[in-house]
Formats: sequence, C-alpha cells, structure tokens
Amino acid sequence: MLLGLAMSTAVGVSLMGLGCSHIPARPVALEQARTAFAQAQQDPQVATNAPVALREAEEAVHRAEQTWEKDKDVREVQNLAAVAERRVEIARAAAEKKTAENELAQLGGERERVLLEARTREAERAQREADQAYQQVRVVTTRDTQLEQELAAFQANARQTERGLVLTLSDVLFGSGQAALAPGAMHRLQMLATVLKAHPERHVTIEGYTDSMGSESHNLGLSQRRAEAVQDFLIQNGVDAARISAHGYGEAAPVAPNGTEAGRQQNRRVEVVIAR
Amino acid sequence: MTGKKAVIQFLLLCGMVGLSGCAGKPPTATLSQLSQAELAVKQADKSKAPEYASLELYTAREQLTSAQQAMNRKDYAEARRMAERALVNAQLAETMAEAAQTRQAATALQQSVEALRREADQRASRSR
Repeated sequence: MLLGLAMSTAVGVSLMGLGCSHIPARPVALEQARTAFAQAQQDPQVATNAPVALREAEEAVHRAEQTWEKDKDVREVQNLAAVAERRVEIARAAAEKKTAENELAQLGGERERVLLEARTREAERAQREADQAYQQVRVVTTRDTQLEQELAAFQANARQTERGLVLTLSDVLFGSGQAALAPGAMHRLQMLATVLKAHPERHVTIEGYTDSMGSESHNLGLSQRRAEAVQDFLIQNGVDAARISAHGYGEAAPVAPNGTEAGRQQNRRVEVVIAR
Repeated sequence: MTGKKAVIQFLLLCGMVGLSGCAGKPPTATLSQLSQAELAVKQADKSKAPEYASLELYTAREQLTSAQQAMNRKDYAEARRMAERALVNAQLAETMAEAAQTRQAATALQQSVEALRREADQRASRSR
C-alpha cells in the first residue's frame, strides 16, 4: 500500500519532470528570440560588422530551440530564449561599436587631409603675399631709380630719404634777397616739371630754407615766398596743383654752419621732396 | 516482487533528481557559470557601463544576486539560469557602453573636422 503510493508519486514526479503530462504551448519568448535574430541577420550592418557576435546569437537561439524540441521544459526554454535575445542585442551593440570605430578611422584620415590642405593653402598664401610685396618693392625701386636717373639728367642730386626722394636746388635760382625766379632757373625747373609730370601719382612738397642772416621773421617769409614761387612755376608748367604743396622754414634746419660764406650758401636752398 | 521493483525505481528516480540538481553538492558547471557571471558583472562595473548602460548593468547585478540566493537555498537549476542571464546582461552593458563611447568620440571628431574645414575655408576666402 505504502509502496504503491510511493511508486505512483514517483511516476507522477518523473512524468512532470519530463513535461509529458500536458503538451505545453510553445513559449512566446522563443518566437521573440527567433524574430529578433532573423532581423539582426538581415541587417547588413550587423552581418558585416559583428559576425562573431551574430553567430553566438544564432547558437543561443538554436540551443533554446533544441531544448524546446527535446524537453518541452518551459522554464528552461524561456530562460534560454531570454539569453538568446540578449545575444542578439549584444551583436547589435557590437556592430554599432564597429561602425563607430570605422567612422573614427575615416574621420582621422579626413582630419589629416583638411589639416594638410590648410597648411598647403597657408603656404601658398604666404608665397603669394611675399610675391606681391616683392613686386611692390621692385616697382618702387624701379620707379625711384628711373626718377633718380631722370633728375640726374638735369644735374640735380637727388638722395633717398625716409620721406622719399629729396632734391636740393641751390640759391642760384633766385637773386639775393629776392623771391622771383632768376631767368637761368627756368630751364632747370622746366625739366623738373617734365620729370614730375611723368610720375603723376607722387606727392611733391617744396620746402624753402635760408641762412641765418637777417631777422627770423623775414627769413621765414622769404623762404615761404621762394617755395611758393617754385610751386607756382611747376603748376604753370603742367604739374597738378593738388599734388604739390609749399612750406617756408626760414633758418631752421641748416645743412652747413652759418659761420662761413660757403656754409651760408649751402643753407640758402629749396628742397623738393618727392614722396614715395 | 512488485514491491521490490518499486523500491528500485524509487531509488533510481531519487538518483536522477539528485543529478539534475535539486539537492546535494552544487554541480561544478553551475559553480563555474556563477563565477563567470560574477566576473562579467565586475568587468562591466569597471567599464563605462554605469554611465552608458546603467539599466542593463542593474539588471545583470539583480540577476547575479538572484543566482547567489538560489545557490544558497541549493536551487542549482535556478542558480544556473540566473547566472546565464546575468552573464549576457553584463556583456550587453559593457558592449553598449563601448559602442556609445566610440560613437561619442566619432561625433566629437566629426565636429572637430567640420570646424577645421570651416576655419580653412574662411582663411582661404579672406586671403583671396
């Protein structure tokens, strides 16, 4: 009696263990895992970028399927199906990681390219600027050399200064104490006017200076009138009035001592400054 | 006669039940799965997973705890199942974190390249 009960219980337990008492419904989780895997498999990004993880997911789905076919153990199959679904997600995450890594590598190359391009363009720009600067210097130099040669043609010594070319005209242009141009000065100034007209872009300043003889105010007035006389002459001979100005500085800025007649003669002068 | 047979059957069944992991010493396979899961969770903890995949990591930790508890009450089948789940969730958390981190780096680099290109273009148009 007791043994019979034990036996029937044991058989019942064993039947339950095998899951044969009822045929249970196929777990939904198993279907979900299959679907998730099929979708991942069809995704070219996953198939290409995470083949190993995808194969592991496939094996996990397979294991769940096989366990279902063999044992119909719902609990075990549900667990295996959940594991399989996670394996599919791992494959997707691995694929995303690989995609981002590929992008990183590509961007790294792109960054190098942009930097190289920028450096090349920068170098080209610097070269262009250097060329332009050189051209400008060359033009100025050529112009000045030309001007110097032209001025030398009428026997005036032009010297290069920071303000530009400075041409000194001695007092022989004027009679003593006079502001009117001497007849002999006309020819030389005529040539100056011709040279200046050939360089219309350059501004010209006429500066009058005297020696220290006589009062300062008289000298200032005299130097101003002489500078203006030269200015007037140049304007009358075709030099544009807008580019020519005149100033008298009197005995300021002597170029030689006023103690000797030779020095005084050097200080009585008109300077023509041809700006750069 | 039948009684003797029944006793043998009963004993045999008890043996099967014992083997299937309902009592006695924990099976070596389960122990190994549990330690694998512990290792995976520990590794995920040390990665950027707490920042980028906190939900997945949390799930893995919970499942690991469940596995350990099942182990303590000698429910080795449940312990193995939970260890399996904890393992894949920890691995998922770690992989997701790595993916997110790499994506972030790629986005940052993308922006940097765009900024460089804009700057280069501006400089080029200025110098023209």
